[in-house]
Amino acid sequence: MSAGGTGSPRGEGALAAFRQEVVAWIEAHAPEALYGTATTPFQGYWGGRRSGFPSPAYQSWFEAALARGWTAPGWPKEYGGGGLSREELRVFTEELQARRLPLPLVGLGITMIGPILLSEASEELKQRHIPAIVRGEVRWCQGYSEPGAGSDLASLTTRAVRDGDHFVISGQKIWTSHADESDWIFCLVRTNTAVKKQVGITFLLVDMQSPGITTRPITLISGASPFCEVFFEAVRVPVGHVVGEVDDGWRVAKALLQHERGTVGESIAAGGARLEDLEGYTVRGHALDIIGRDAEGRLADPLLRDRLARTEMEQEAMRLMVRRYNDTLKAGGPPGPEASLFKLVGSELNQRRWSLATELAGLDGLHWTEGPIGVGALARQWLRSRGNTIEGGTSEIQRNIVAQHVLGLPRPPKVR
Amino acid sequence: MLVLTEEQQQLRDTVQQLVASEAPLSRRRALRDAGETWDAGLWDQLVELGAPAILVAEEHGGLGLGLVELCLVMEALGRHDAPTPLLSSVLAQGLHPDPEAQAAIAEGTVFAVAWREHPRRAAWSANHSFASHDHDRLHAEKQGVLDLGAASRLVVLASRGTRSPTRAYEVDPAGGGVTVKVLSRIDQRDAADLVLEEAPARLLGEGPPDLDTAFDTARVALAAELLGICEAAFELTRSFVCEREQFGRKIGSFQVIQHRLVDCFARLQQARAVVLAAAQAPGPASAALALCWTSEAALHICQEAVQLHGGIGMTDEHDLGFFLKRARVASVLLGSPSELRGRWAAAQGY
Repeated sequence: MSAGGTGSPRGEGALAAFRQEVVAWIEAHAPEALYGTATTPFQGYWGGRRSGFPSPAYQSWFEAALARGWTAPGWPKEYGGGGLSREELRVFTEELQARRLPLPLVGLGITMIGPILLSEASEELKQRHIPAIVRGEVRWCQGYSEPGAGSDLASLTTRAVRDGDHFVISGQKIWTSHADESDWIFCLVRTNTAVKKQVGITFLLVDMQSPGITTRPITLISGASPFCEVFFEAVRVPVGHVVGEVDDGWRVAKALLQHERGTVGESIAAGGARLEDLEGYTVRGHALDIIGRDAEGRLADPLLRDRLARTEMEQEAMRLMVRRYNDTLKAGGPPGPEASLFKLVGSELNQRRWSLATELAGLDGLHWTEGPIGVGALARQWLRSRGNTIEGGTSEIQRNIVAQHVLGLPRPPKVR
Repeated sequence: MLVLTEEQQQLRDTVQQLVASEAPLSRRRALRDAGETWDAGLWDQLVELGAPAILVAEEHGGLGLGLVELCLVMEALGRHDAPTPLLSSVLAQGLHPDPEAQAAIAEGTVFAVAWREHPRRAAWSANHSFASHDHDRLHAEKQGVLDLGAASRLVVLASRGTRSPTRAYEVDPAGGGVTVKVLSRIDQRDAADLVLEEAPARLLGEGPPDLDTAFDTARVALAAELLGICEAAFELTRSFVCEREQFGRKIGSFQVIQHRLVDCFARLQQARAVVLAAAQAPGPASAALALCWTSEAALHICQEAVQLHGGIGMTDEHDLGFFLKRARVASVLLGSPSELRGRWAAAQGY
C-alpha cells in the first residue's frame, strides 16, 4: 500500500476493536459537510505553503487527523505517522470509503515521495522531510518528463554537475502538475553521460524556492490545466539532497512506481475528469432527456440505446475486473503488475464515454464556456480526455509493459 | 468477494483435470470425424462427479450447490470444446418442476429443451407453438433444439394462444407426432429443428414457469463455457507467438503482435470478472453482461488467434478451428450480443 502499513499485525479480535475505535473517531471528528463528497483519491487538502484549505471543513478534518497522527496513518510514529499495520490501514481506509469521506491530507508527499523516502533515504533526509509532509507543511511535485524525454524517460538530459558539495542543475522539466503551487520537487537528473542512459540518472530533491527555478503553466487544447513547465538555470542543490546513491536514480524511480501501484483502480484514467465526477450527470439521463422513450419505455433511438448499453457494460466489466483484483489481494493473493492493464482499459473507456456524450449533445456539446445542458463545456471534457491515453504512460507503453511483464512475451530487440 | 472459495478452487482443479485427461481435443476430433455429436463417455464421468446435480436441490437427490460451481464445470468444458448436454440439463432443471424430473436430471438423464422459433431472435417464444385446450396435445415448430439426439426426454415451451401465458410441457421425443430434422452446424454438435403435430403432451407446473430465471441461469452457464474458450484460444496463441520465428525473431517480440495480444488479454481478464460476478449474483443485467461480454471476447480472441497463427490457423489440422466455430455458435444460442445489450438496457429501465 502506498501509505505504508508499517506497524505490527494484530489478531482478528483486536482488529474489530480497532474498527470501533476508527468509527468512533470519525463520528467525533469528520465534518458533516465532507460526508459523501469523496470522488477521487486526489481530492482534498494538498498541504504546503502555497495552497490553502478548500473549505473550513477540510481544515478541521485535517487538524483532527493531525492530532491523532492519521494524516499519514500507515507511517511510523517516530516521524509523526499513525504507525498502523497493513490491516489497520485497510480498516481505516474502508471506514472512510464507506462514508465517502476524503482523506485528511492528499498529494504526492503522501502517496509517492513519502513512502520512497521511508524506504530509500538517509536518516537525515527522513527527519527533515517526513514530519513536514505529515504536518501538511510541504507540497511536493514530480519532475520526470522532459520535452525530449516522454515515453523514453531514461533519455532525459537535465544535467546535474558536481561543484564541491553542491550539484548545479540546468535543464527543463515538463508536465509537472501543480509545480507553481508546490514547495519541493523530486526529480530525475543526468549526473553521468559516459554510461548507459539508465545508469547515469540521480534522484534529487530540490526546494522550489531555489534561485534559478522558474515555472510556466501549460494551456491544453481543453484550456487551463494544472500542468507546468519547470526551468532550471544553474540551480545549486546540496549533494545531501540525493535519495539513494548518485547515478542510482533509475532504480529509485522504479521502486516509486511500485508504491504508485498500490492505489491502482482508484486512479483509473488519472488526470482527466470522469463522467461520474460531474454531479448528477449521466449519459443515460442526458439521452433520456433529449430523446425520450418509446411506447414500451425504451430509449426512443434504438441505435443510441445499443451504444449506451455497450458503454455502460464496458464500464461495469472494467469495474468488476478491478474489484476482482482488489478482492484477490484482500484474500491474500499476490499483487501483480495489473496497474498498467487497468490504466490502459480505463483511459480508453473514458475517451469512448466522453465521445458518446459529446456526440449525443450535438450543437449543445460544442460550447467553450458554460453550455445549456447543465454539464458545463462538455466538448472541453472530451478534449481533455484525449490526454488520458498519453499521461502517466501512453497506451502504447502500457501495452508494452503488459506484454512483457504480465504475458511474458519475448522482449523486442534492443533499440538505442 | 470476487474470488473462489477453497472448495471451489478444489472443484475447479478436479474438473479441469478430469476434462483434460478424459476429453482432450484429440478425442473431440476423433469423435467429430466419426460423426459423433456428443461425448457420451465424458458425460458418464461428469454425471459421476455430480455435474448435472449441481443446481438440483438436495431433497431431490441433487447437490444443492450454486451457479459458481456449475460455471467451473462449464468453463472446463469450454477449454476443451467438450460436447455434452450439460447446458440443456441446466435449462430443464429450471423449467421442469417435478421432483421426479429433478431427480432424473441429477442422475444424468439427458433432457432437451425446445424454446426457440426464430433464426435471429434467441428469446423463447410461443408464436408457432400451440397447446390444445386441455393442454394434452402440442402443435409446434421449434428451431435449433440442442441435444435432441442424445435426449430421452423433451421439454417444449408453448401456449394455448398468443394471449395465454407461455407454459412448459413434456413431450416424448420418440413418441407420435414428433418430427426431427437433424442439423449439421459448424460446431458439429447435436442440434435439430423440431416439428410437433398433435403430439401428446403433459403440462408442467402449477403455473407458468419462471422463464427469466431459467434462461438467465443458462446464459451465465454458457458465458462460463465461452470464458473457457477465451482462455484456451488465448493460451494457444500466447505460446505460439513465443515459439514461432520469422525474420530471425520470435514473432511475439514484435510490438504489433504484443499489442494485439494485450487487447485480447484485457478482454479475457474482464471476461473472468463478469462471469464470476454473474455466477455469484445472477440476474437479468449481470447475465446479459456476462454472456454479451464473453461472446464478443471469445469471437475477438479466436479471430485474432487465427490471424496471429497465420496459415496454420486456417487449417482443420490445427485445434483453433474448434474454438472459433464453437464461439460463433455459442454467441447465437441464448442471445446475440446486440439482443443482450437490449436486455441490459431493459434491466436498467431504458
